[in-house]
Amino acid sequence: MIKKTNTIVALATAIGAGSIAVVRVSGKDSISIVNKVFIGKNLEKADGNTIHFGRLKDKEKEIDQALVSVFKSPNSYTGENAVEISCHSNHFIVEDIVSVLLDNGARIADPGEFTLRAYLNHKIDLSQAEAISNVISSKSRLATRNSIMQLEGSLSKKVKSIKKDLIDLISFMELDLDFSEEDLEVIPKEEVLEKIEASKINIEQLLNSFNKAKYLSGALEIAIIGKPNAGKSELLNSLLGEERAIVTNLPGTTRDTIEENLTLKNMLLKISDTAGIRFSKNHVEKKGIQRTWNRVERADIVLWIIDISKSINEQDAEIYNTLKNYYNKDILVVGNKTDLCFKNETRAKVNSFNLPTINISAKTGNGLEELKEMIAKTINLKYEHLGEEIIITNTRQIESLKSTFRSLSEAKISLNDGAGNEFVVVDLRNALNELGLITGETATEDILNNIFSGFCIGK
Amino acid sequence: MANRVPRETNIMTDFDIIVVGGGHAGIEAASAAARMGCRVALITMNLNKIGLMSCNPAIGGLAKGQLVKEIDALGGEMGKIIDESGIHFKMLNKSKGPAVWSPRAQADRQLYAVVAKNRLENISNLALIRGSVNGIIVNSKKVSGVTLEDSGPIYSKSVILTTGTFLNGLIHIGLKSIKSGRAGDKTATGITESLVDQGFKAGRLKTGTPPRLDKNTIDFAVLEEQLPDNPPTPFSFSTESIENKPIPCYIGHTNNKTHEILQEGFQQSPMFTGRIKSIGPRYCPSIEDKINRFSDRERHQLFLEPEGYENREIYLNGFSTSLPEDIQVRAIKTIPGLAKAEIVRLGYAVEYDFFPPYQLFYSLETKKIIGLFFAGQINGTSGYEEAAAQGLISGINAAAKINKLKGFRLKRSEAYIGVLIDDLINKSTLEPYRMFTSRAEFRLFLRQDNADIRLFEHAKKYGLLLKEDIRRVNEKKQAVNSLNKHVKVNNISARKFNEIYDEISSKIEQPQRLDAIIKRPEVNLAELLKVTQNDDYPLDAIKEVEYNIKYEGYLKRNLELINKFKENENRIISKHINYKAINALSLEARDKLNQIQPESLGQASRISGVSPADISVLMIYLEREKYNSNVPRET
Ligand SMILES: Nc1nc2c(ncn2[C@@H]2O[C@H](COP(=O)(O)OP(=O)(O)OP(=O)(O)O)[C@@H](O)[C@H]2O)c(=O)[nH]1
Ligand SMILES: [Mg+2]
Repeated sequence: MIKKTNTIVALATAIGAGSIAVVRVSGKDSISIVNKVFIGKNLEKADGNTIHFGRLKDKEKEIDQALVSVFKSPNSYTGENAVEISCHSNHFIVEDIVSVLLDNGARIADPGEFTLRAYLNHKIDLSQAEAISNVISSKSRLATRNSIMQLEGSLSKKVKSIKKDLIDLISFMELDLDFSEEDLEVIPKEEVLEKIEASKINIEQLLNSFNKAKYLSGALEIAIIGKPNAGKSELLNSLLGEERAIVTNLPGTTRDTIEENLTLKNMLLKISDTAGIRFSKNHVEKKGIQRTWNRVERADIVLWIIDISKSINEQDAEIYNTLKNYYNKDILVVGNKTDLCFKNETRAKVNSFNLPTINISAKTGNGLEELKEMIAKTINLKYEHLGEEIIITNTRQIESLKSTFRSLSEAKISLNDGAGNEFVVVDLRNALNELGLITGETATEDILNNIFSGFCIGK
Repeated sequence: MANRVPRETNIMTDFDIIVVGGGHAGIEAASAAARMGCRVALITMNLNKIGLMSCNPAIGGLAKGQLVKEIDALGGEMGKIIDESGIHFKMLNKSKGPAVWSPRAQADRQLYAVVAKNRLENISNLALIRGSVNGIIVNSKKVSGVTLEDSGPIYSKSVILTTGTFLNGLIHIGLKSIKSGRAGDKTATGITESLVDQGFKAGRLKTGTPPRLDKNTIDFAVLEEQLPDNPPTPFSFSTESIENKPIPCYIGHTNNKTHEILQEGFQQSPMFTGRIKSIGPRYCPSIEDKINRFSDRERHQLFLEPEGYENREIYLNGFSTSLPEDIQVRAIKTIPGLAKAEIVRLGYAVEYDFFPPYQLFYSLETKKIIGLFFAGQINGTSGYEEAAAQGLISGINAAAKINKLKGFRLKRSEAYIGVLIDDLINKSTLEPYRMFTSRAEFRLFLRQDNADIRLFEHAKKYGLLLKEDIRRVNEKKQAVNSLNKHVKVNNISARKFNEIYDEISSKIEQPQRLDAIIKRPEVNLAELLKVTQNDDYPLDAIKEVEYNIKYEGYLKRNLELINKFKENENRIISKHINYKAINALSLEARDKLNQIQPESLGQASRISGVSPADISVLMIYLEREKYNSNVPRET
């Protein structure tokens, strides 16, 4: 039995997410362990940051061809010796590779252990560590983009700028306490209030970005709605590629909302099929329709299905008006059942709604690709600006921001109650300390330094 | 008293403790140790300059006033000396909350020194010795005395060095420099060298002082007069009232003409030309520094402070300078009121040696040499009060060691003195360290007026208080307790309340409990007690109770922080750790932690250069150690 070392191994990419899977190994013995199962160059003699082509074997059995990258401490992601094995993204291959490495002395990494090691070896700071764990767990492209932005420190930058504002404010207030003998102007209460409010707004923006982050973590929602029998369930099934929802020719088949995960053009989405909308006295159906509208409320994009083999009636007009008047959503009109229309002679004039429109056949799959493209384009258009923004996705950061916000609110209340600076500053310093938890720094000396450099003080 | 060198110099029999230096640190160190029953010698170059104020003739000030009150609460001298020698008392920040009030007083400089010496002479087991110490005697890492320049060695169990700016002091005026620790005094050579030989790290700092003017050549009529408080509030809790006649200070201002002349002297400034390389305090900049850095300011405020009743010198506070003589003379004459002013003593800058205080334990004993203590400017601090506080702590600890008591340490949450020493040990001082209230994160609790009850248990435990002090503090504590109960069970009637607070506070319909109604900012407990015929509570007890109730909400939030702080203080790092071997720590943290060897995780977190990331690493490390030591090892 080979003695277990403190070298860890894990799959670094999601299976099925691409054609290549990456297995990552880190620890003092990572190079020698991989070398034992590698046919090709002697990796123990390889330089750091080099890539080698070869084959991996389990005893005498060959597992797969692979590209092996060798990293030497401290120049690796974790700061330790590390190896990355790129192989074919196949469940069985990956499993074989990991298990042969385990047999040779590695152990399975705990969740987040690579990042922890990187953090412990000072390769990354706390907020970077958290961003990385988000990269690892994020499944969609947008989320990756945002995680990378955090890595590059834009969150740190934004938080630092809020911190700087707070330090400036506290300096002004401390100045009034510690240097009141000097010939200095005092900061008026209104200005303090203004500055606190400004910081509160900045924090609130960061907090709001948390809501946006749900899009990135695979929580972007699409709702399929329409009249009964329009083919909503059929569309869901064909988008999913499986028979998820019951499809019948009876109007009112779907009575409750059905929610599913959908990977579409590299994006992870939530998609729901809903009960058909019509005037109904049936209690159950009524409840179902209410749920449909609730779904619309939550959704980011609404796919409004219209059976174009039939004419439009008041029910359609009513759906249109409700959507327009009560919901501010991106709507795509999907004309369904093109296979029933002779030479694209659609009876329903769906263009008249002045909304982006596409005609498909849920049954034959005709136009389905175009629909997917259209959805993807809509999302990209809508969330493109996210590229410039910072998104908070991490609950610890959220908690820190919330505490900061609370402390700022308390400072405001104290000020309005007529409390002296020495009391208000307690709240402001709490706020500052909370922010320090995100960037991993303290601001103890910063305030005095700021005072000495910015004000003419001293007798 | 015995102010001569004992002839017999048997090993270890001369004194228990030798204090080197008769400044503010030396005074407190010697008197505290002597009061704790040790045989103490205070050695200084000139016995008539004990307690001499080398810089401005004032005690206290923002944050510093709190230090003096704490020193007093621990039985120290400073508050009592200034109460006897002060000529202008003022409570600063009076327009703000009680937590940031600070007493300050101008002293009659000569009188202060006379009172200081008298008080020391009256301490029975304290000898005052004139002499110039030029070396520390060390045997196998243990101190055993000092050597004097012109007589033999003196032996002791402990030595406390409080040498101020005297270690290799070098005074600068323009491009001239003179070896001296204070205008008119010699410098102390030999001590730094002998300590560096022992492996101590030394550094160099700078400080400055303004010119002194002849009182009789100033036109006070054009200056703004600043009157002291009437009646004055004493510093010492034991002083009943101040007897000295108060005299005013004056405020003046520089102008563009002044600045122009000063600028002419810049080429001959020892600072700007790089002759002085050591770092001076940023909070106490020279006038040339102020006009250089803040060139858009058209004037700077100056305080003209009398140095005493008889003394003709006026201290020109705010005009610290090391520019050449002719520039000082001409620049001053441009200031309104000073057209004819004569300089009695020039302003100057002084450079001196200090020992970065990470080389000390919390007791202020050096880590390198057993029984050797440092206090005051030698540790890189500035200010009389900071020096005195350290002197007191070093004296108590030196005596505690001899009396086989536990070391004395104040926490940051207990006292400004705790903040001071904690900062010194853990933050690398790059400039002379001065106390500010903003350094004390728990300042809401560290009020100048509650220092006596706040530090009472410590003071009692180490035997620092006189019997009458103990009785006084006990009485105050009892009064506070009974008043605390009183306000919880007693009401004020609506009629009485509405009568006295008519138009000031909104009317009440029903009788209100005292502890509820005094939450209103405009309501005053003393007044309520008076109208309810309960005026037998002393005012200081009333203030204590009122503060804690009125500001309860705010105090609670700060209290939560104190609890968090204590939690980390209680995570003790009991053994010596080789931090160099913990690779996950940043290089800087490894060095700093190895150097300081913190006693707790809390302390580690305050060391400059140790980041929160390092603290998490350390936490993981300590957890793992604990885990490993609990799990029996295989093989
Ligand atoms: N020919 C043809 N039939 C379709 C198409 N899409 C759906 N259908 C049929 O239309 C009928 C209704 O389809 P569903 O998907 O159940 O309709 P739905 O909108 O979910 O209806 P409810 O659940 O009742 O609201 C079924 O018989 C489907 O087979 C299409 O593109 N072409
Ligand atoms: Mg359906």
